[in-house]
Amino acid sequence: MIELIDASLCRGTFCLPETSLTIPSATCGVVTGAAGAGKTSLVEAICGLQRIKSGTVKLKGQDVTHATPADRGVGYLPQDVVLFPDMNVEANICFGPKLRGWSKTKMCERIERLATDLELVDLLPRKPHQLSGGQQKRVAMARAVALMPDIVCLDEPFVSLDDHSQTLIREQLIHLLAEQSATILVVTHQPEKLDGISDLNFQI
Amino acid sequence: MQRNLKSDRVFSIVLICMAVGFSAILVALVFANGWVAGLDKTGVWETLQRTEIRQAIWLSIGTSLLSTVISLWVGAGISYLVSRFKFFGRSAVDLLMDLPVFLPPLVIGMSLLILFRQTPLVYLDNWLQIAFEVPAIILAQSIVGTAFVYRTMKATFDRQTGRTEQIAATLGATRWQAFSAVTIPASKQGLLASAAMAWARAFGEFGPVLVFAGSFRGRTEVLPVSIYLELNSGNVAGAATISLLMIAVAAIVLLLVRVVARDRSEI
Repeated sequence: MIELIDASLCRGTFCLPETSLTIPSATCGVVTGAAGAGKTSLVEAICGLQRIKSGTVKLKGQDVTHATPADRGVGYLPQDVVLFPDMNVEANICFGPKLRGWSKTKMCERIERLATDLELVDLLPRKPHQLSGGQQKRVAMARAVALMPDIVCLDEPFVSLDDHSQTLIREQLIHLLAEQSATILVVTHQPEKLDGISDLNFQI
Repeated sequence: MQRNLKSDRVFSIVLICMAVGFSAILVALVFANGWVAGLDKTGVWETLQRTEIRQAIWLSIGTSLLSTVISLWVGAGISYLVSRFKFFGRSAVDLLMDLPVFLPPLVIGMSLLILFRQTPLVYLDNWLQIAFEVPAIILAQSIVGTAFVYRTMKATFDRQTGRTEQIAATLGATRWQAFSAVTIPASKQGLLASAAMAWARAFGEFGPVLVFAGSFRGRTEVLPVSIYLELNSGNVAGAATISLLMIAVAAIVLLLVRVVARDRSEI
């Protein structure tokens, strides 16, 4: 479950007024809003990348307002993708599992599954600069969910993607809900892409 | 149209003349050393075989490498701190880190000497034997090297914005893990450039070394000090021979850095 209770934050001259939202476990919530409304700031506050000025952030019932991003365990797909430039696709995806000390077998199985689902098998040895924008986004998606997190936040996952990549990411979201019972928050300008997946809509 | 074309041509010719003229001066400097060294009656090889010169070669290589490592650790660490964290006195640290680059080298040596011999730090110096010993050479070399590493690495870290570290944090990385696994590999070019600069400065450091470490033959004699001692004893050819050796070593390192940098950029 993702809970944001009366959370407000300021970033430079921009301030997000007190906002509350609750996404129950194993459901998908969609956040929409005008450009510059603070959607990305909201997601980053949940992931722990931005400090909130007031209010509370709760994940799985635990107050994580002051917890570090590492301790929150949120799988995050940023809007700007941000792959690690000196690592190949495989190392990018393995980054989280390696840090968590996963065994090689478990890591290989997970990579195989993600690479198949997101059609990355042939791209595993490539560096990020050798990928197209759509491929980079799919790699970032694989990296975000590699640790099989209970909570996943996606910031504009469909922006500037071809139809096929959009379908792959959509299918990944269906897997996350059905197999992992993950709680998902998606920030998007295209809520129609999540028809049949999203349970809740929030407008900020 | 015709006027613009003429102006462009004149501009290009002026730039080419500057490049050719300056390159010619640099080549002439090397040849001048080579020519004078050729007049060395004892012979170039014999000069380089002298015990004190051989010791100076090894001392120069050893101290410059060690001070490069120190400069890299300290300079990269402080530049990361200033680039990523907001704290009271950040601007002051940023300003202070540039100081060794702008200070006259003799002033750095003099200041080090006063600090270690004329203040309560003299007790530390008496205990650790820093001034007029090898640690003084390393300290003098590291201070200027660190400032060079700082400036280059700060520009490198500033360019990266820290976004990759944030994403690494969401995947469970601590600050140290994000720094060592994500930021440092992405900063290879900057690290290589700063290491080369710090080493070149350390290898050729003279003023601070002479004042703070002295010019004791076989003890604190690095190659620039050897040149100074040879000149003092009137052996211009010997000094030119050592200069030639330093030019050769610097050229080899410069070439290696260029090759490695090119390889890295192609990865």
